[in-house]
Amino acid sequence: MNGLIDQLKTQIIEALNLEDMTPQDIDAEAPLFGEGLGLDSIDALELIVLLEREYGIKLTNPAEGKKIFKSVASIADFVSKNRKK
Amino acid sequence: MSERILITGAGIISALGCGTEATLQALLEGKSGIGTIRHLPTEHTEFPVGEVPMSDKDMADMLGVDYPEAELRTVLLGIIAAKEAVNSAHLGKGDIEKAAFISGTTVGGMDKTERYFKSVFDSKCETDDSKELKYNDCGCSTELIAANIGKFAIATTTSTACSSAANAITLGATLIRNGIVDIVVAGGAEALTKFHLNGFNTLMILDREKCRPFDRDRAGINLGEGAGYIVLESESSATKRGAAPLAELSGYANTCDAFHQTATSENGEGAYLAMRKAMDMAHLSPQDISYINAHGTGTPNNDDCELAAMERIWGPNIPAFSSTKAFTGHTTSASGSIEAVICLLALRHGFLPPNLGWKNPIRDAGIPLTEPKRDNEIHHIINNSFGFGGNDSSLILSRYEDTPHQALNIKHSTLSINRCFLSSMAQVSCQNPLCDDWMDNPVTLDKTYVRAQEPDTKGLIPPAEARRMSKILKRTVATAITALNQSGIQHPDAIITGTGNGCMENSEKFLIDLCTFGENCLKPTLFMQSTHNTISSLIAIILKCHGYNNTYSHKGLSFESALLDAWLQIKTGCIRNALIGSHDEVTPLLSLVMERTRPEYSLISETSMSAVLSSTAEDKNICEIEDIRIFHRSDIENISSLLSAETDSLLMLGINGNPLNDRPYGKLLSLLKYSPCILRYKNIFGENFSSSAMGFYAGARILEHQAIPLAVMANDQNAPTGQIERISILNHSDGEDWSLIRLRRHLRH
Repeated sequence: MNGLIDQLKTQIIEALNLEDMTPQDIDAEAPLFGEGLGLDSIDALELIVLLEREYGIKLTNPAEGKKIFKSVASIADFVSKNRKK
Repeated sequence: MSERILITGAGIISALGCGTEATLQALLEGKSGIGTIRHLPTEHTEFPVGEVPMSDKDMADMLGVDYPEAELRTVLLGIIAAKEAVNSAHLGKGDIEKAAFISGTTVGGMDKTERYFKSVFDSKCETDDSKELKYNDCGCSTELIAANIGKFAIATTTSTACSSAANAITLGATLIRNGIVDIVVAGGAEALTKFHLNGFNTLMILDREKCRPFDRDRAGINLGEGAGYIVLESESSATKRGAAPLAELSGYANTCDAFHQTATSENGEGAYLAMRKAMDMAHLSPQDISYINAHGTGTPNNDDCELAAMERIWGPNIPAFSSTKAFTGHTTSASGSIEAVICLLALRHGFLPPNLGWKNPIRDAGIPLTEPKRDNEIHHIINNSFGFGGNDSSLILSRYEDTPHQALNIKHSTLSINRCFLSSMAQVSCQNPLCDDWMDNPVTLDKTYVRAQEPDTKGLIPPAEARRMSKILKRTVATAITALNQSGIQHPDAIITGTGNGCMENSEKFLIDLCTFGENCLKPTLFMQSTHNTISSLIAIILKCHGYNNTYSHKGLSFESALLDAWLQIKTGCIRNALIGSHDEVTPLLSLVMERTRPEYSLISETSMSAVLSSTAEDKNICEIEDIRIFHRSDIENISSLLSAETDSLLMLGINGNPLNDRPYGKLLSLLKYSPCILRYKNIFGENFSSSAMGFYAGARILEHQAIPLAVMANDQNAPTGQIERISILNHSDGEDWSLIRLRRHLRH
């Protein structure tokens, strides 16, 4: 799981152009939206693309993302259970 | 000049059919044009669309046009609707030669580009197909539509995403109001493409069922396509021609929501301001409005916020309203004029079109018309068009007979009371950015592509904003903020931008992803920041500017179109100041296409220039902008006859040493009866669709410093020995469209 979390952090930094951040700067348990990293609805859509491109997981309803994208840890949990690649 | 602006002609094509008659019938019968995709080669057939029920070939055959028009759907749609508009207004050849053609589009030639892109991409541009991509830019579509109608005096293109056509109509009204022309054919055209179908899909706002605007359970947009044009005409011209007015354009407003690239603010600030200001201009109170043709896209966000804006104005008593997008689909850049024609039909034929597909209200006040309604008491109609970036515009169409006479006293209609000064400027180019080192120590250019020297944006752009911005957006914001800081104006009354190719890097990346990943897994950020108005609206979002916001994308005259709009509004006191600019960038593939298909270019470069214009005479002003004119398909003899030794002894020309480009300038100079001193700028800044903005920049700095850098001097004959009083910037686009800007030294007190 820790390997997946680190991989996800790197992928998130790249997909969202979090230019000045390193994986160490992201707390896996901290909220991604709102206070935490301050991501917004467009970032949520980018994360949906990331899941599809990297792990073959297709989300068709953006509302599903809300729970999944709570933190890097919650994404890792979802990916490990649903990944197609 | 306080003349009323009448509508004397209209043309339309959409999913409802070809022409105003077919459209009227479909609206009266409540027959939607939305169905399964037939003509667009996409795998996303799960999305219903409002497709025009004709293939490219059907339309080309009907019009009798051949290559290249026959392969460009936006152009075909545009020609059909513009022809109908011109014919219904009974405009003759002579009328058209004195008229302007203003068209809105964002897609332009993208349908063709996406057909050929893969082969160009795979071959790294080493294929003959590369030449097919030169029809991609918005201005190209407008030029081709115009050419099939007649020889207009002026032509330009607005590109503010889904409000493009509405903003074409507002510019048309500005031109008439200022006596620049008496007749304008204005509207927009947009074909469905895989690019924007997939783009909207990345934002997850397309409905898999028929769209249901203003319904509680609405789930998004059905895209559509088509074109609509109306003929705007001054009352005196219509009277002189004996033209029957169909309606009056009694009010219009362009505002910016300044909230988010793709979302509307909760209280619909931009929408509220647009409707309010349009009513103010028309001297109408909210109770005077009979019907609102809402933007009503069917997305949860738009309809909720548009309703909120209506509630702010009308409380619980909103007039009859509907979105006709459940008939036509969302025709994006063309929607403003397609729906203006629908409003015109409603006004003329005494009926209100219903909001198809509606079942349950969002809130109590928000119940749209659900059945077509016969009504002979329709007097004033508001037509809303809102675009990405919060580019919100409202038009008011009024029954001609009813318009109260005080509407004649439109505030800004006293012509040319103000002077227009250039207060500050900033540039990013291959020269040192945000400064004027180029005047003494220009960087020598020796490559085909001239990349910009990137400015340090720390302190200018908040990091949270910067992470999503492509290079052109960073350059733009850097020049805009620098110019605004220098002028001391934090919130300009207007933000008006020119860009020939727009955010080309994002478009190119999105196209490459389409080739690589197919029609899935595409990135929303690339799409939402691919529209041309991203530049202008992003500045507004950062500065929180709710004022006028417009974008012009018309080849080599993009900058001049933006300047003309700002200049007219400042001269007439509509606005006190404006941030203007012009920006274009170089990309790996599409710039290569530009090089291969434009042999007249020498040094393709990327440049950003922002400037603040103001009506306030201040010592720190750089110079005065005395005149700006644009000419469409003009004979060189006409241009040369405007120039004189007294006003145009210093000529800044877009010469680049390439005979294909320089020949029209040479011909023009040979016609002059005096010998001007010739200056140049492309050897310093390179060239692109925005490069005349750099000529403007260089000319203004010369007047400010009263010194001509050696590198700018094309011939040192007739060089001024004393005071430099004026510089005229003369530019041609493709040898046929011309612009003339006259700058004058600012007389300090």
